[in-house]
Amino acid sequence: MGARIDARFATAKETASVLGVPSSRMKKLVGLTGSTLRKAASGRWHAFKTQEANGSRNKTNGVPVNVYFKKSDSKNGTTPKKRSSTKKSVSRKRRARGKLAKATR
Amino acid sequence: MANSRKPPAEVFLNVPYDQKFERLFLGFIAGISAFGLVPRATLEITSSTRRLDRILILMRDCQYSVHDLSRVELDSVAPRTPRFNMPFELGLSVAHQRGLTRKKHEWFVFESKRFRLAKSLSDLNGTDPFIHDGTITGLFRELCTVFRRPGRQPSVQQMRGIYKELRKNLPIILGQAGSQSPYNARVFKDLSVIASASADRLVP
Repeated sequence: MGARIDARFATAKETASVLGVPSSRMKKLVGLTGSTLRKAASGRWHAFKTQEANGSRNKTNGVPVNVYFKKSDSKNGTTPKKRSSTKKSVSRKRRARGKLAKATR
Repeated sequence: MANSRKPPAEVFLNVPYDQKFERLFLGFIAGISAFGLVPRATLEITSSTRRLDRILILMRDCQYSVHDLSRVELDSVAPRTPRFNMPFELGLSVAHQRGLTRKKHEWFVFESKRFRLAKSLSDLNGTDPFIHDGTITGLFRELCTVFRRPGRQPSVQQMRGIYKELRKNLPIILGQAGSQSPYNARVFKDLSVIASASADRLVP
């Protein structure tokens, strides 16, 4: 009744070659199938762990230091900048301790 | 079995090329590609070689053929005639299988209405047609009955995913080909490549 397929699963490349579709056209057509995914992935910020960051793993008591930079930066050869501390305020206890230290000077 | 060394099998697609059949035409391309098969059709024939010779060459290359005989009614355009191409090409396939050539060939008949084939083509009595009810789900269901691929059997949902991908990209393909209809050599080839790429991605 049915047919058991024992041939290889056709890839887009093989289908294109059987049907006589040029490879450049085939690549464009394959791009159409996952175009939304591809667009979303491009132009995003990527996190790379540099050698320096890996080396500093032990110095920071096992806390990994992630250095963020654009994918294009690696091509330019520019060194990635470390993200500065985002801490804006100091605790009240710490400020009081500072005042006390100033007075005793 | 999934890593078979045999080259991908080809399927000769014998379907009516009319506007009402467009959805099922895309469904056939999606369903056949979901099984890792390459759809072939007489639409590809564009050269000046005698059409019948090209059909025979095309058929000889294909391990399977799928014949949809659901368009047996009279054409609306005058002079009103039924389409004989599909039953004729089915006859060629049967002859091909019955040893006129050495290559292995298997053929399958599809219909939209039960018991109609017994009336329209009684020579095929004893052959069970696959009834798709004229629906995409019915077509995918029947294709799953026809083909079995151990290790990489697509589900109806996966076939539907490939079909949706084709429907989404059809306007782009038609625009690039400057065509209004999918029954065009370039459009057919483009759709087949898209379906194959989607199948490779969606059917693990």
